[in-house]
Amino acid sequence: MYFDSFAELLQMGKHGFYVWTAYGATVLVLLLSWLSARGAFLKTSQRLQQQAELAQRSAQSAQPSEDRT
Amino acid sequence: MLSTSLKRLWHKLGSPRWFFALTENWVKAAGLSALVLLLWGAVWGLGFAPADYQQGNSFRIMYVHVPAAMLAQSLYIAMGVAGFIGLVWRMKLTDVAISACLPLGMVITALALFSGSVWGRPTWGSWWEWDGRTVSTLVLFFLYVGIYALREAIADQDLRARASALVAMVGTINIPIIKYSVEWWNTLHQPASFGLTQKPAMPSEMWLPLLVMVLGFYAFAAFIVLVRMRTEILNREMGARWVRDWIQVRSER
Repeated sequence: MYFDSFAELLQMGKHGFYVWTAYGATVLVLLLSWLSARGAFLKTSQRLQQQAELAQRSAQSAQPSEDRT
Repeated sequence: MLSTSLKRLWHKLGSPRWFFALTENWVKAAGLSALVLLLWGAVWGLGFAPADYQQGNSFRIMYVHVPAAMLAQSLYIAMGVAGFIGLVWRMKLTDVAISACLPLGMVITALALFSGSVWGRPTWGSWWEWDGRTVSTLVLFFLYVGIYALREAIADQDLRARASALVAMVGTINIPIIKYSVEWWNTLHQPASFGLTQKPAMPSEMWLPLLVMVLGFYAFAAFIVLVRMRTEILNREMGARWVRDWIQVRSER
């Protein structure tokens, strides 16, 4: 490692605040982008799933049951 | 013969269903590469690259600022190209691509501006400078916001697609302005440290982590854009037979 200790890594000479702010913002942006893309995908696939189940159930109930005749 | 088969391939490329099937396995590959490259590049850039002899450790911001700024422009170019293809050949998929690039492009441009500001403070002595490249990147951000607002405002899908394709296409004029701003105007931004033909103006232990970070950012963008495009395709083709088949296979897994 370039730094002698973990404390020095955090301190980054006198630039710790700037460096860690920039990297923190990056982590935040990438994480939020991932979560929102993933959330949209899950929402859509859940809706499709529900639609499929609903269609299946209505297809089953539309069939005439034998004991009623 | 060749031209008809080429034409057929071109139309296949524009088919949402075909694209959806093609990219099924790409998502995980892109996501995993992004994770590995970004972690590797960040640890290397933050902890192992030597400090700059003039800027000290603040130069480590470069490892997120430069990839973010590159990606901000690349995503816009992708939207412009998609817009052009969409307007000329009336492909459905191009509007899906624009809608998928837009949110990521917007936040990545904001990140490029923010990380530049945080780097500018210790290096130039100011959070904000009316510098050619900074201002043209701000214009890029407003272009993203403009297209986003446009898409929110227009309910008709076809009109929305054409309007955003046009603005995306026209706005690409700004990209060469960002690129050459450091040569045209007196500027604080340093000129490109990289080129395809010249040797980088810094030692390899400084630019190799940057290369890893750039690749990581692009892999991440591919991952996000693919996920968003696939979601948008499902939303648009909700009633189609192949979507029902796909969800059945997925739920049985």
